[in-house]
Amino acid sequence: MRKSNKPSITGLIFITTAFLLSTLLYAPPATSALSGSEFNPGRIIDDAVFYDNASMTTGQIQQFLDSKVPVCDTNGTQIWSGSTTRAQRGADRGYPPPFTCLKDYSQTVPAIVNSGSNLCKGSISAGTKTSAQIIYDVAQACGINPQVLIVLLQKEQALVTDDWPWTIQYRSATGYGCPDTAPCDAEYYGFFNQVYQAAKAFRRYEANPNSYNYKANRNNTIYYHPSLGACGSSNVFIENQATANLYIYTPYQPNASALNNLYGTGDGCSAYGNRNFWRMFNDWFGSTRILSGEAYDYKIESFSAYTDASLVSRMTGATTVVPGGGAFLVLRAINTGSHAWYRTNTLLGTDLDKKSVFEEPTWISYNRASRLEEDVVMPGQTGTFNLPIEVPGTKKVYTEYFNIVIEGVTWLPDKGLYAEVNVNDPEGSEDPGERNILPGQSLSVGSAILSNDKQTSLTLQKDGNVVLYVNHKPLWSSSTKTLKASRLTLQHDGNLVLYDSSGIPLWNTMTSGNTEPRLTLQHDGNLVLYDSSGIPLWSTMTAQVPGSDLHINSSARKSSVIFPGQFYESLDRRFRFTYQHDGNLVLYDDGSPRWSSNTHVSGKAKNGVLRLQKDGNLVLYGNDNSPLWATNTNVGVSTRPYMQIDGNFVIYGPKGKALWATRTN
Amino acid sequence: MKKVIIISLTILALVVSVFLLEKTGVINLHERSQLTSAPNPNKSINLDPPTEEEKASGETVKEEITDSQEQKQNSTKQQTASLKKNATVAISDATQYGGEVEVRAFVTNITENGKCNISFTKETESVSKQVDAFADASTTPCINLVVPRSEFSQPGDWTVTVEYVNDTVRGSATRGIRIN
Repeated sequence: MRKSNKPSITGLIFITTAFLLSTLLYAPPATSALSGSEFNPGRIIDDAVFYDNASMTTGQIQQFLDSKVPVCDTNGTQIWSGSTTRAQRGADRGYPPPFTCLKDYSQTVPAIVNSGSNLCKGSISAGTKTSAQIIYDVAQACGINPQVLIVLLQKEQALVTDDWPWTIQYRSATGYGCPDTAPCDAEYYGFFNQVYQAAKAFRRYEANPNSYNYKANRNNTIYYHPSLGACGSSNVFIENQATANLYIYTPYQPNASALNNLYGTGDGCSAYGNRNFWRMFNDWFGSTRILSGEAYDYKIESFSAYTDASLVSRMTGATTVVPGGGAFLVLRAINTGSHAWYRTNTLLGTDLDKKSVFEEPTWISYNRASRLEEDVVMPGQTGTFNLPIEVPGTKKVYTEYFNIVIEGVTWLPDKGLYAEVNVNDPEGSEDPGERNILPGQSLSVGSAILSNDKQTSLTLQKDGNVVLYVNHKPLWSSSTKTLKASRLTLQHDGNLVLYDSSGIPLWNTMTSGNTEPRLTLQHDGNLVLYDSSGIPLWSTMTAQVPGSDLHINSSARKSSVIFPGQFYESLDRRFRFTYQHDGNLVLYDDGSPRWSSNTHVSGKAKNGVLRLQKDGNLVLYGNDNSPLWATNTNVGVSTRPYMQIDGNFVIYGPKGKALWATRTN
Repeated sequence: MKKVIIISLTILALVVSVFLLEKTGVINLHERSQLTSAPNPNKSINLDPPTEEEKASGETVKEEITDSQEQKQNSTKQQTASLKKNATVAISDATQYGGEVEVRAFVTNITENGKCNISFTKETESVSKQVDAFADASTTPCINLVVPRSEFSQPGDWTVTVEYVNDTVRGSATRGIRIN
């Protein structure tokens, strides 16, 4: 009995263990009510939320507007005050019924034609459109979150929830052109005009950060009320462009009194515009912050493939790379976690840490492709990973999964991020063939010839067009698209003719009367038809003149040949390792020479080649084919030259070992 | 019995170790568990009927429209006696950033195109500039003024004045600026 009345030692241990475990596993529940203390004047809304124009469809916008006015008092039959109806009150102020609620509103919209150079880059078609369609169309054209526009309509004129709005509320729906203490500007009247002008203004603020009174990433004096001196101001570090946009549009911040009574009024020095924007957005569409609630998380902003390191030629559709070739992938990811990312330990790794088929010498290791480009990426900001890849020599489709890892801390949640690369010959050609077409020879549909440096190709495409590409950029075409071309033939009479399948000529160079011609695709980017004595008869006029030198990737591929005027360029375009026309190899830092081979003195290297040999040696051969300069990296296997962003030009050997460098970092 | 106590003490020791590691921040059990949680539920769209406050906001807007109509009538009556209208100028930044001095300002109560005159003074020294101002959504911003530090004859505390003036309106604002 005594024994049973005393707690046993094991019992005490059990109770203590249970208590500690419960303390460990208990996390305080999140509170959901919005509080004014959560308002951050320097970061009212994240850029990623503000510019997210894919947040709602037209149907969702309509559904939302319907929900906020269950019954519209179109005829104003409800009592306004005392025995006065809304119809009487409206008429008394100059706005008689019918009252059209926003959910039912429609108007004729003019056609807006924009191009890439306009602030709003998308166009808007003309027609009679509902308010939901207008909001959606403007959001798409200007790249603004439609939820931002909806909240703007509510904060300025209460149009979203008003069940008997006056026409004047539509006239200045977003408050555009309306100073706080003066009448609105008639130039901007009209619902569509107002929504479009507001969205365009946000883009204008972003495009011209030095033209406006508030600026992101700077300290700004922001007043509490139009009575500037009487109500005072505070210094606010505006953290992003979206928040700067809101302050430029509505130039006051809420004071403590307005924030303490978040759903009501403050004192005589309170202004409510930006407080109400923040509060309404939170109430209707959730947080104005991109943060997911996780410590580490991200959202893919874009994942693109480029043919060149300068990121000019973006690959569209399937990513096709020649066997043994390379491409440049760029991942832009929004940090939606609560923790910052640091360049020191934020990497892009392969799924399950496996050795990647796309590994190339500049990778950090076989399963760590690249490092965060930015030094720090705060929550809500976008980080960049530049990812050069090298594909295997065997033709097939390869897939590699990637994910972001905070090295030594955690992997980020898997987003199914992957790169699928079709390793095949360029532009659908089945046989790359030779660089010459001789008399009697033809180019069939889907085939191509490549210049000897593989930078220029001539392809008879399946659409019937003959196209000349330089570094994957189309520079010339026969303009025979949609015609059913069958073959491009160099005739013995000197004429180059494009025929259809029944032998009808579709296009020709009009050079007949010149026997035994030769069609050559030159490494300078020009396609030239020569007569038997070497006199040019016709060309595509696409020669890349000095000064607009052909661009070579930052990293050459196996057995590459570089000609005078070509260069390796760092990813950031700052550094160039150039084979100059005078025969000298020079490394430039932003135009200033940092290193040279001094091979221009003899004059022999003027018309030579810089060859990356299969044995790994990078050799400069003169015009008499004699070796003039070499890195002496002939290790027996292929190596990889790389113009690094630190300014060093390095020859990498197996396992990423640096074999030679200009030591200019 | 002894065996049971030893096992229990071992478990307790382990739990205490984990507890201390968690509390000292060496490990974070809560954070790791969050990494597998569901997407943020806050991003859903609120399709609830309007709240009373939201419904009332339409009345507030109509009151402001009515007040504005009445003010307009009153100002028309008084117009004959008015002089130049007051332009309220606000300076949002006047700071030296490295080798440049930057001033950002705007007119709060007007939307029109015009000019902002910006002058820096210190004792008998002065630097004067003019920049364009333009009509925006609800204000008239002056285009940011950037002046090379070399244009200031001496370091110290200067005064910057931004003035907006035309045929019908006038206003200015002043604040101090430290030139290094």
